[in-house]
Amino acid sequence: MRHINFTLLLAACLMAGCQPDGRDMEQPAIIDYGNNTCPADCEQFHTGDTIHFCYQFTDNEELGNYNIEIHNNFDHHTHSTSSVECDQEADKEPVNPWIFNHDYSIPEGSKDYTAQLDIAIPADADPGDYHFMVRLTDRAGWQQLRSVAIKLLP
Amino acid sequence: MKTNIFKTLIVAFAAITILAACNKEEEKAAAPVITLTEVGHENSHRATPGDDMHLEADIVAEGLINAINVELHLEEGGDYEIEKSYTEGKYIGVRNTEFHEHIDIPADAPNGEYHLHFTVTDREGQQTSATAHVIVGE
Repeated sequence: MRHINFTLLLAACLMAGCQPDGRDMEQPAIIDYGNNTCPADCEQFHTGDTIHFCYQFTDNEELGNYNIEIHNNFDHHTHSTSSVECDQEADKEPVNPWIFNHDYSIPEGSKDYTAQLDIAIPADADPGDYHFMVRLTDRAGWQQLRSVAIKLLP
Repeated sequence: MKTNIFKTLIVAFAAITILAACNKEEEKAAAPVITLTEVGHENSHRATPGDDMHLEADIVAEGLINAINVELHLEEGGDYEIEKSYTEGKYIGVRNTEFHEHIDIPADAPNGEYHLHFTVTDREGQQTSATAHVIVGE
């Protein structure tokens, strides 16, 4: 009997060691932060103003870092994550488009994080349609993308 | 006594089998997988000198992305080449990403047919390339 118990115990231990090292297979999530969500789809800002970025990030294990990138959408292209159609201006050529690309860290060990930042819009940036891209990566390397359509007014 | 030896053998056999099965988990990560979703505006495979070219790709890299290299070279009539590398920032160290960049095509780029080579290298040194034709010109 003792041998059977021992066999079961050994098998259980080995099986536990056998799990594919508990690999994280879930992507992190970018969630609206209630009424404070900013920027929201189709939100309008004026050049020279500030975007009070605010979103909620979550992950099943541990968040890693995030990146915000803003590029013009003067030619009205699409992204796989944009689901909303906003009123768009006519296509135009960029002259001095706003280009923004920054990486941000998240405190280690976070499963939940409220990201809040102030992003200043250059006063001389071309007004028009832009894509505001949020890329959230968890510690395992899974990345979630949220593409928000915004408009800059002169 | 015989039974005990028999049981011990069974345990040993089970242990070896399970451990052997476990080793399979340590196999190398799969090489990066690239799907070019947009080459040129609305996937037209066209670009204009002095303008930028949309380039979008879905990348999955089990071994985490270490570098992305974009090369656009003239197919015939010269060795003109546009090259851009990404080795830090939002695409690096991740398992999956949507690559989206507006690649500048210099105003002096000669018109003609070009080859696009989009190469992803993971942290284990594995490389995958995707290629496409691009026509540069008005």
